Amino acid sequence: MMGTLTTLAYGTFRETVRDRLFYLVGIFGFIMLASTAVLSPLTIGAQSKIMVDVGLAAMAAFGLLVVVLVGSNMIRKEMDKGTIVTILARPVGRRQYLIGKFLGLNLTLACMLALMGGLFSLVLLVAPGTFSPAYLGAIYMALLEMVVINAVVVLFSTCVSAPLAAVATLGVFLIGHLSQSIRDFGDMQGTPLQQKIFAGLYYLVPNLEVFNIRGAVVHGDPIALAQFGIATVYCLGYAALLVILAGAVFRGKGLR
Amino acid sequence: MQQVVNIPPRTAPDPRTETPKALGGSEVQHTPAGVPALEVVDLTRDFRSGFRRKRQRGIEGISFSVPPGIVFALLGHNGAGKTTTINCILDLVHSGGGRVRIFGREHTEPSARAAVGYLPERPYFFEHLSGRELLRFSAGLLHMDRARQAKEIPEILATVGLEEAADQRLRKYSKGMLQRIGLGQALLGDPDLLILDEPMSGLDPVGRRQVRELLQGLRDRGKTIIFSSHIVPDIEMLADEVAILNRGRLVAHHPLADLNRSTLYEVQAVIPSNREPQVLEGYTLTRHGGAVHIQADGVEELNGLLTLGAERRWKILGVGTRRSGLEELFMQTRDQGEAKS
Amino acid sequence: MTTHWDMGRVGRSVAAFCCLLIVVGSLLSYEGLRRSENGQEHLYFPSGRFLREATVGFREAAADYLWFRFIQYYGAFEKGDNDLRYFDLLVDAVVRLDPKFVEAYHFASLVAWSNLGSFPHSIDLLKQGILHNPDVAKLPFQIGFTYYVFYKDYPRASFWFETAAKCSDSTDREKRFAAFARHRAGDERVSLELWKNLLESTDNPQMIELSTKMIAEISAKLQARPLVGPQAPEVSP
Repeated sequence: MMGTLTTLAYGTFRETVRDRLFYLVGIFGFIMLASTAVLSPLTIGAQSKIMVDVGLAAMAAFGLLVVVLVGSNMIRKEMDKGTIVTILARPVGRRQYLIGKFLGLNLTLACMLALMGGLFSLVLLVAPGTFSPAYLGAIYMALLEMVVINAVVVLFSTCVSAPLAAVATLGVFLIGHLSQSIRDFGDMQGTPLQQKIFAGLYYLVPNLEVFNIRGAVVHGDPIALAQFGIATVYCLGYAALLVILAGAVFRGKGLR
Repeated sequence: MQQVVNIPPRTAPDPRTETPKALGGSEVQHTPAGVPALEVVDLTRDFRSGFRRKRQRGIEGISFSVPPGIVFALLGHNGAGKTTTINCILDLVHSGGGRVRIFGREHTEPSARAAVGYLPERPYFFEHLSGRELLRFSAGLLHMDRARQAKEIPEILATVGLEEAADQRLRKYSKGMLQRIGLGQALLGDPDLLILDEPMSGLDPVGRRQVRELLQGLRDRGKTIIFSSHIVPDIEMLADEVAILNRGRLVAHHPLADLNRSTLYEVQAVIPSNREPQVLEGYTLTRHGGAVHIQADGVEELNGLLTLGAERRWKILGVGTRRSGLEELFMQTRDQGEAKS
Repeated sequence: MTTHWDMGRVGRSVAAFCCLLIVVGSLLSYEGLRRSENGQEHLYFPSGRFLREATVGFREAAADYLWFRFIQYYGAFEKGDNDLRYFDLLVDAVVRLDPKFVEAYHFASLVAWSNLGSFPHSIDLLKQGILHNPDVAKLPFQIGFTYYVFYKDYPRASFWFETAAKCSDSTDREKRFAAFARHRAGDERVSLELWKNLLESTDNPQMIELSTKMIAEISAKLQARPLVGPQAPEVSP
């Protein structure tokens, strides 16, 4: 099984690389350099903060872009074109196929974030020495967040068309960052039933703020190691749940 | 002018089926003697279409069995249900009922497809891959080790005539090249069962002949081949048995040898006019220029005529089919189907 | 045939040029419309509370973007294009998105007293910043400076300078000002202690020299003064 997963994952990774996706890394590098060279006169003393903010936000935003655009089309494109048929006619289970595609996109994200993180660290080391190892932690958490979003887009892409899957995934991303507000809103409700509904919604939707430590690292706030552990476990558990669900949906899908 | 195909005697098929260890099988598994390569019982599939998701029957009650080592053809007009049947067999779509076993295994198990090579009707592959990379990718899915890949992939590329184009991206391949690389990936792993959906589609006459010869060679090696087509002569040249589908139903299933008995052949020969034998009385003759066209009803009569021609030193210019038994049956079943509807 | 093809090409070129003219003309008209409004400011800007929710996951980057908007807004004010009527709105948006954006509080406080002429507003902004950034010396120092220079309220100034000196990122500057402010407030004993503290903690030659000089000066003053007597009153900040 591992051989099949490796083949599928590497195949997906190669497809995204040949899609010239990593040009985004070049664009990111340009943004980083521009934020130092062009924008520094406008920052009124906040140059290092802004560089770090822009760098971390850009990595998260590009990661989201890749997941939504590539992930929403990944499976649907293969179903529409018929390439999925030649894979599933092999001794490859449908769930294996999904997991392989999921892992392949994760590999792409990890490589992209590693490259961007490297560029980001280099610019910070060269510019007014503001590099901190905590930034690597923020990049790792951004990767975990993208893994969860990847699982969401895999689930949606088994059910609906690519554009709909993209929009729905973006919606989940927004709600995921507002989940605390959902909970607070629920607490304000009058009846226990309404409170329970909102509490249920809070646990159902991925709480993406678990992975958001960008503000803390920028301001040098201490971050407990336990938070990384909890975030990792939460990411793996939630993503696994979604992929299992996607497998159940995909099993019943006709491919031709 | 077409050639008569005499079905050569076949060697006994090799019943061994290799199952990758990762799928729970041993290195080599012996399929018990008598296990059909493919067994389809009462296969049914419905489609839902339109805004109201109205149910339409795609195929119904399809049953047939394919013994190992033969070439089995699925014949039907466009939309008869050939591709749907194949898709159900390979679990690419879920059947609404029925049972399918591949070498005795349920078709829904991924391990059942370990011994199957499949060529889809309109082969689409990853455009960003080269031909060689596609074969490596497929080999990876078959758990082939690198040593075996290094040996087999060049052989397959040579077999399908794509050695020179092996490193070109598939997006640059012509339709015929895609068909051949599709055949190549189907042959990977030396599968015991080949399922080919319209394998000659898109090929020029040279390509068609190459594919035909390839399939004949595979048959001779004891492989089981199931292919679909709507071209009767292709089936006549290759198949041992034929199943005819019409409007989603299996309407006929015959060995081709039986159908050849009712085929009307025509022998073109140059017979010296002063030696025209009386033995030709009773045959339907026509003269075209210096040649005589003699009709023979069935393969036995044809063999008799050819033997006679050899004895009497006729100059045989060619042998053709005037009216194919298979074609007659196909037209009959189609007309019956239209009458019923 | 050739003529027909050329006419097509010319036609397309003319059409493209016309479109370009339309685009440029529209932009110029828009600029003219803005200028004709004679400094009237029209700004729809959502509240900080809304932005905090709407910038899902990218609050700090959004705060930085708004900071650029604020800098440009201030720059436009310096050119005479506005009257800073949206100053509070913009600052509120920035600090709600990123309450730890120290520079925003600091610069906004400078704008508040230098351009809006409101020292209380300036101090309020700095206090708001201290709430979210209690260990940043810059903000309490600025309050102390305001009291020291503009209000000449040395007791209050000394309180804030001492608060700044207790922050982990404080330097000799905060301690020096605290000592001076106590001295100005007439609290010589505390001032003396603060100078001694500075002398022990600094390795800057100028600070050493200054501290030594002030210690000698205040010690002499205290020796000349009776042991009991009026001390500088404690004041609330």
